Amino acid sequence: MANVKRRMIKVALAGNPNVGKSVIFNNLTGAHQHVGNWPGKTVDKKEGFHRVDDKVIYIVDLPGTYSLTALSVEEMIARDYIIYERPDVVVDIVDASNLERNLYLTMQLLELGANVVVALNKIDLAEKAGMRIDHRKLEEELGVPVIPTIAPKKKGMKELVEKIIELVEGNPRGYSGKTLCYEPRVERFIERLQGEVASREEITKLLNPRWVAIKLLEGDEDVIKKLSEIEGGREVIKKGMKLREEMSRELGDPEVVIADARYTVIKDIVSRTVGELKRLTASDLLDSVLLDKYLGIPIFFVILWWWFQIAFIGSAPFCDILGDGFAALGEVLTGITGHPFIDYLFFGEYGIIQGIGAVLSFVPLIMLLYFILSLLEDSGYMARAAFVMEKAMRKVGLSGRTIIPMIMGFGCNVPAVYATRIIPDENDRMIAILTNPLMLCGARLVFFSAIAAAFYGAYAGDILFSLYALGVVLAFMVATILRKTFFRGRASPFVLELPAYQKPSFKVAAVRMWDRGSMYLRKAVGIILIGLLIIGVLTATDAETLTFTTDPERSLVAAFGRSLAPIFTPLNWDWRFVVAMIFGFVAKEIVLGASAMLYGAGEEEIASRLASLYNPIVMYGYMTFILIYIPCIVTIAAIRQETGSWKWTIFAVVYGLILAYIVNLLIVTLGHLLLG
Amino acid sequence: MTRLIPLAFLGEGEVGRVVEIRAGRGLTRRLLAMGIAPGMKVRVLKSSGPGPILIEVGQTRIALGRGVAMKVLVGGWDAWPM
Repeated sequence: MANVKRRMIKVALAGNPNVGKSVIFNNLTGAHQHVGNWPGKTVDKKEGFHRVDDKVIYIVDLPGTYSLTALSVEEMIARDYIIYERPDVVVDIVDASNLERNLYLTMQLLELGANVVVALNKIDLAEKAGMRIDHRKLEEELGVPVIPTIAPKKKGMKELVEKIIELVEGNPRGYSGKTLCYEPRVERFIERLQGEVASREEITKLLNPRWVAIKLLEGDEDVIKKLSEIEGGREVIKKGMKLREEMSRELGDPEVVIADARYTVIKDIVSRTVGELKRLTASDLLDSVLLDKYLGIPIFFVILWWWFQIAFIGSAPFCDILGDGFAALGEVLTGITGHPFIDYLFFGEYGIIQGIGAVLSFVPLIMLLYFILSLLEDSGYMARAAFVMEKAMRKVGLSGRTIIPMIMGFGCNVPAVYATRIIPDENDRMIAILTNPLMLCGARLVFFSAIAAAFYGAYAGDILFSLYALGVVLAFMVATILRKTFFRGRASPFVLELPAYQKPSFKVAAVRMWDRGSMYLRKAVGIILIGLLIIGVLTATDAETLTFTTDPERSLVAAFGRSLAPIFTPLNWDWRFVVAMIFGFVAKEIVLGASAMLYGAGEEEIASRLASLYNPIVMYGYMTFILIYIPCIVTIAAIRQETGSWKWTIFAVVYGLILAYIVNLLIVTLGHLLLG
Repeated sequence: MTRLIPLAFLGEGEVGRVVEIRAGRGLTRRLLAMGIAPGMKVRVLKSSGPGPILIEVGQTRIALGRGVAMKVLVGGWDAWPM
């Protein structure tokens, strides 16, 4: 027994989306948690520890799923974890106010042979809606422990932990662990196949025979694959396919029939354990307004407007402090090494320290955007936003949910690329990632607003708006093309639960914000450093002598810019534009500062200086180029991370450049033709 | 049982019972997991124009694209108190 006590207890949290799983995970793990990715997948993996007395419970939060078929990456992760990692206990978090649908996953966890504890969450909401759930009766019916919980109030957490320990330490107090039988006509097939599976030890030591039988009848591709790799598996598959055929002849599509059988058992259980069942109506009024045919979309845009206002205004002081702080730090440190090249490279105005400052100064904005997104998601509104935008998005071959990362892109493309994780279909997600850089972000706005004011006077607002619109139109065009070429097929069918509205949890939002912010820091900083270093060295090295220079005109960057300049002659650029554009690669707000440096003007006067050198058409063309070309280095890092592929990352860079060039050329040519 | 019609043809406030799902495997699985299975009662909450429709199954509200709603066949839509 001493052995067992010292051993770490392994617990997995499972449950549908929107059941309060994150809140329970946070309650249990507190600060002892870590967010990463499931190996090779872009699905968040949250793990943490809970300590009680001398025991340590390791808790992993499985992705939220409605079922355990081989439908999606999330479902595969959840069920493979249970099969291969064999957690001691699977805590199935069930939304008490939505018992019927939630028990569907419970049934599948039981089929899998997991050691289940049901956390009957949101029990307060259920009671408010007039449902009386007899949880002891439910326990008896399911044959596993059921603990009522109210996650936001931390109610039931202690009992949940006690029950986990009790189960692991082998005192299950007479839980039957019974098999829930389905209707006889279905059960007949399961039993016939189950017998066949159970006689093979190679299979049973890995997989639960009843589960294998059910999955084979359902025709689960992944189970067939798993079995074919096990000795004797092929015969079982053959037998399974024969029975499946027989079943579908007699009863119809086995998958539907078995689902039907599960729901029949569930309805039975619910009818015996739930005293009263009323319609929840709390969401009716809100939905009738927020989903209104005419009001829905305007309301969505008003909410967006506030989201951005709050994020930009709220983060501005922190952004300034970070930017100024690093600038001051650079100044203070200048001269400390006594080596001018290193000084320039690290502490100079375009050195590493300042560069890091520029990049870090975006972290508060990214975090705040994410924080508010998390609140909106939690409250149940984001699903409504997807609903109202579905029709418009579908026209361009995207699913309604794509609107959320697109809108976030107006703030910053980095959190937006991360936010594409809310899109379940892999093709939809790739298109959303690859088109996101076309959304005009806050960094580009820095340059555009300065230029627009100087060049276009009273029309500055219209010019800015036209750039936003151009980005959106191009994103839709590129999406349509990608949909017809690399990511064929239609936007995935739209099926989305609209969860009941609830008060969002600030704590969960704060935790998520921190996760995302720190992930950005960990992953992006390395790439940014390398980028800054390369550009720094190129700017500080004299092109002829290869020695240190502070004169950008003589630098390798200038030489590089001049050598590339002929390519951009049709666009009427001079080499300084080329170099400023290259600087923008690090972060697009640098384009303004870099132009200032190259034209030897201050940031305040650069716009009017440019106005004296270029005509408005050329300048507009240049702005469209800056809008479209290469995503900034941080966004590239995010794209690499989220596509998991260098190929598509490079694709994003290359298509951006080509598209930028074409659009710029069109604007300059047509502009001069039409306007002289 | 009465004649079958696609869920997309039910009007707002009307109730039907799912009889059949005529969709590919992936979509069928997703619908089943969300409670849209044969025998389940569905109530249409919103259905206007060519956009998605909003239905209620048990205590769950689910938005379905119109294309999806065409693949779910329901019967007995006229009178089912819920």
